[in-house]
Amino acid sequence: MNHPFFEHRLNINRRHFLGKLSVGLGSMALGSLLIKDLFNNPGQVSEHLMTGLPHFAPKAKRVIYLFQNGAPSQLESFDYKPALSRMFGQDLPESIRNGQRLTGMTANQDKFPMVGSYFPFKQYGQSGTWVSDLFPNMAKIVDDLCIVKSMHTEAINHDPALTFMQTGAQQGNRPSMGAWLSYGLGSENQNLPAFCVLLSKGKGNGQGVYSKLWTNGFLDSKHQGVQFSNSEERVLYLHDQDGLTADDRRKMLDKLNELNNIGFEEVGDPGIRDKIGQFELAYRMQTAVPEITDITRESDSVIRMYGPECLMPGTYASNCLLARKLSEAGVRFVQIYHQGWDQHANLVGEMPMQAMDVDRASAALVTDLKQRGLLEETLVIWGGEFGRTNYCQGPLSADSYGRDHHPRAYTIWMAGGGIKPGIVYGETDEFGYNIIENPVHVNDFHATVLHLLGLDHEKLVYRHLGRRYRLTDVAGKVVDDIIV
Amino acid sequence: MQRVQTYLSNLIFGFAVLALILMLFDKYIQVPAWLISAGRIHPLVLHLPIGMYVLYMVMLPFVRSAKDSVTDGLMDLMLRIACLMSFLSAVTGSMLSHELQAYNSSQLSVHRYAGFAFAFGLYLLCFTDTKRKLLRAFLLCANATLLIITGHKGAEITHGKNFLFPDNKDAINTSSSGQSVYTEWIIPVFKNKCFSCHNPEKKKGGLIMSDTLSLSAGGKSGPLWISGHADSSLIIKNIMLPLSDEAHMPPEGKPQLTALEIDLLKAWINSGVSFNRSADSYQKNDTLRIITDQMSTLKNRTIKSYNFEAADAEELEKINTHFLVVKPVNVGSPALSVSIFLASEYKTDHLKKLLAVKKQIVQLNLIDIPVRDADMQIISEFSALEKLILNGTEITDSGIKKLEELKNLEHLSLSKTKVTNDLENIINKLPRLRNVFVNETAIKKDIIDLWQKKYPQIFFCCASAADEKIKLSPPLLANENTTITSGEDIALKHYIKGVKIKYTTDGSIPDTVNGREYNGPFKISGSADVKAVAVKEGWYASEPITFSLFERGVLPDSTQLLSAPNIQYPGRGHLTFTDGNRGPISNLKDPNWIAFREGPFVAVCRFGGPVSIHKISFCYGLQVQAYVFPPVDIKISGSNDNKNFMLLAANKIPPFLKEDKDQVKPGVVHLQLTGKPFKYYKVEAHNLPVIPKWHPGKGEAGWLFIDEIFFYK
Repeated sequence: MNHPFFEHRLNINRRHFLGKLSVGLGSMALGSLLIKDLFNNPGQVSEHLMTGLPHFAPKAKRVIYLFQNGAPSQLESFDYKPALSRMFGQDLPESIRNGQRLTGMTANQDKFPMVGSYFPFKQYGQSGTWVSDLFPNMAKIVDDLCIVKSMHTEAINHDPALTFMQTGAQQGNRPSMGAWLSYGLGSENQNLPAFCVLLSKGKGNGQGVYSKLWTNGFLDSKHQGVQFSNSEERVLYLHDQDGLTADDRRKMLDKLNELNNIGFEEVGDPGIRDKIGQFELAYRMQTAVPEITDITRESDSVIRMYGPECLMPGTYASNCLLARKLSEAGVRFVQIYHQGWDQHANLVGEMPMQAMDVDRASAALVTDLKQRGLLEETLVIWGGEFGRTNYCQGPLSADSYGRDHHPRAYTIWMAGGGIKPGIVYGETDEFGYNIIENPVHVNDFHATVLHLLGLDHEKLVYRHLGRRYRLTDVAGKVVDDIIV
Repeated sequence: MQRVQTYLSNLIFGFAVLALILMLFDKYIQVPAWLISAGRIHPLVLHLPIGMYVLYMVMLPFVRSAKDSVTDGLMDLMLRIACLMSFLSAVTGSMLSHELQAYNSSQLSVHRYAGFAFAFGLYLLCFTDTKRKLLRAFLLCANATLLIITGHKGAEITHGKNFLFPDNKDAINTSSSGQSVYTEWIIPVFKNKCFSCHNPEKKKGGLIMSDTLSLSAGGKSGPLWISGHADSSLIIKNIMLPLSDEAHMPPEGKPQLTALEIDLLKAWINSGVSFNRSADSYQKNDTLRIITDQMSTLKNRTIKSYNFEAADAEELEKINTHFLVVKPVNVGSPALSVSIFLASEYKTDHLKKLLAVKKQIVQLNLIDIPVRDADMQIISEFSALEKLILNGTEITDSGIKKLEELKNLEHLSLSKTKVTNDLENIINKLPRLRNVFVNETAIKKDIIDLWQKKYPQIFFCCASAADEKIKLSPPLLANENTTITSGEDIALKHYIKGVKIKYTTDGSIPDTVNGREYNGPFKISGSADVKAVAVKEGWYASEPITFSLFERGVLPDSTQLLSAPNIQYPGRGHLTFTDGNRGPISNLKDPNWIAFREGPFVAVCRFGGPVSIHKISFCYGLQVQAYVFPPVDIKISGSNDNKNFMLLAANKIPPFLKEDKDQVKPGVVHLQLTGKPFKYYKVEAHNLPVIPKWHPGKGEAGWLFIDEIFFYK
């Protein structure tokens, strides 16, 4: 294993071999020496990043992403549009829709009657931010939040939009944000995965989440998100079976590693090395996970803050509390998905339940981190994959309507981790349809998140299939205005 | 030697003639393109005659005393080479001056003529008879003077007028704290956006921006600015032109100036174009000062410098383990961030190992690690420490006292520790402290409010009002399944400690008064609805929850589906409705549901022999918003030969009401039978054929979702 010949061989795949060959031949061609970077060894491209360190002093060390899967309506949460209520039932002017494509669900509608929020809004905090009555607890912490009302995306359906938001591409073959961070910054705590995924589900209309959303893509498999279970045992099959002692387990693993090393020396597949690493991580997780996922010792005040369901595995509240514990223990990226936000019909009936699921615990997470002095180094993000239309899908009545998908404008909020607190960024028109000020594209959002973690999104690259890939691909601009 | 000298002489002569022509006919000369690079070797060759001539002068006194012909010959050779090189410099310099018209100033002409004079002076010196000592002495001195003049003027052209002796008047304005606005902020902008064209080599539009002199001189179109009037200045005007305009700068396709950079340039011109004033010398409300301050904030955001050396990389490697992570804050930073993980693996040795890098640690994270007061002695040696997180550690006041020496400490997290009001004694000794976190400690809110007033520079964060009364969540059923065997223990649970569970089995709603208190598993007879609430002091009681528990009943030997389920929801076919597993109402896609829409549900259940059934419970799902309705009727018939069936019970279900449209719940229909024994029982249920008008799906057929059918003797 340690023989340099094998060390060498495992790093040589066909692409590397051809890449190096070109260096040898190329250096003979004198004239081409004048061309800068022409024969740079592909292996060197990201070498400086492999140190697993931020490129510059980071603001945030970790991220907790509270993903609201299904796309919560911005018009019933943070984007207050009283004009829409005044224009109840009127057809959306073509000049506003301006050729925006429709989903298959409203494409056959011959009218697009506008409808305002059924739920009243009030102003909160020193910033006087408008928040709907559905989110009373988030409303209390608006002075800690940066509400971005001008997010926009390219996809109009859930799966591509969700995949875009998570991986920077609409097709599901790229590494997820968490995988990029794991690749760029490495694991803070070697006893836990750098990227953990927690799922929960509301009672509302649900859209699925798939493991491709937390994939490592073309990065090494160690960067893949690890999905935690919703049972009382948060990582399944982690404890030793009855009659198996820790020593036995160690011996078993040592023997297994020996065998794997034989296989590795024979075929030299780097995947085997990753596998050995995963076994070892799992062994260390046997100690770490029970200690870190134990939320029973939380004080009464913390339990009250997160709400009565926070100790019940599988709820959004318990995932928020667990996210704090994991984050405290150095998990770089905790991804929470809460499903059920797809209110095409019966928005008035479903959205309050969804809001109730997440409102208290989301606000509690921010407050809890703040009180522990950890908010400034933890970036919390709340939001979905796109917005919802300002017009009604299906039959419209004063107390019953639905909203279709709307990629042109939606709202997310961020807190901590070097984000300016107590501001609202970006503005939509009075119809809540188009952005009129400071648009933030998904690529810009990614660039900003990476920047907060001390990474230059243009330098965090990985070479694959003959070209360099980034989370932001070929676009993205850091939104300086929302950074402290 | 002789031949070399001859060749040299001829070469020198040739160059002398060339130099003479260039000097005299300068105005008419045009340098062809292929000779331009000849001009550019001027900066290289000009140093050779200087060095050689100085060396010649130095060696002269020693050589005189030596008086041997070889040395004389060498001295002569040295002088001739110096002479040749000075002509070469003059010729190339002359060509260069044609390329750089911007230098046509008095400085340049002094440099130029002094240069020529020096070359010819050397020429004379070379060919003056060694015996004419007085003339040689004069020439030696004159040449030295010319050399100084040429060199000095040349240096001024290249490096700027104040290169050697900075202008003292301006220097007074330069604050001690920093560079001038020009050097710190303007040059980087020019460098990134302008130098690539406006440099001494390219000199587009006759403009060179890389030195202050040529910058002030401007280009072909005149000076770049009118000091104090940014908007009428050429440079601003050109920058502000539309991108498509020919004269727009930088040209289309090149990196453009950002809005902030434009504002900076404007402010700099408006404030009078100073190359020396530092940002600090402007008033705080001066536009230029505001802009540079803003730019420094942006810059500082990503760069933080420390005045200590980085720790040895190998040393770091040695310290790092799975439980002790020591990493530089970012690439190239000497500052270290340290985290210790896993309480069960913690030893004081971890901290002791850190002493090897004690000068570099700026952040230390010890969340939930059993660090004790004694360990604080080690931490107190981390002199550069800025951020210390001790949440959930075993630290008390006596441990905190040892932090006194950490004069760089800015952030101190002490949540969930045993610190008390004595903390104040440390707070006032730490001059740079800005954030203190004492949530979940013995320190009361009023004390913190007091401190907040006393130390306004520090942000104290403490608990928000946690005494808000909120509602408990309902209890949970601990049994794995709501289908129970006869006599099975029924267990309830709640995750919050100290919660009391009240329950009933008679259908009445439990509350603080009604119902039994749950003290452990209990039994029910047959099927029953268990209703339960959770109560706890300081919380509102939960909503009551109902667990509909069904006894497994009599199991048929086999079942047969006589109608096809909807293709999307086939469940487990004929096994779905007698396997004892209920479908979750939150997920109708679960295979424990089987659904019908195109036709009725018809199934036959075969028992081992004739059994007398008194009751059948038919369980379905209800989610009207998703078009899932109750059945409209259910029919049970019995047979002993599976051919001739006798109707035993028929139940019409009343139409579903609009008021209940938001209901999402399991439903059940109980059908009473006479108990006459049969071997085969046929169950038929019809889905809603036409959805009523009040529903969005009006006119379509409703869905029927079935998860279980129970048979009871």
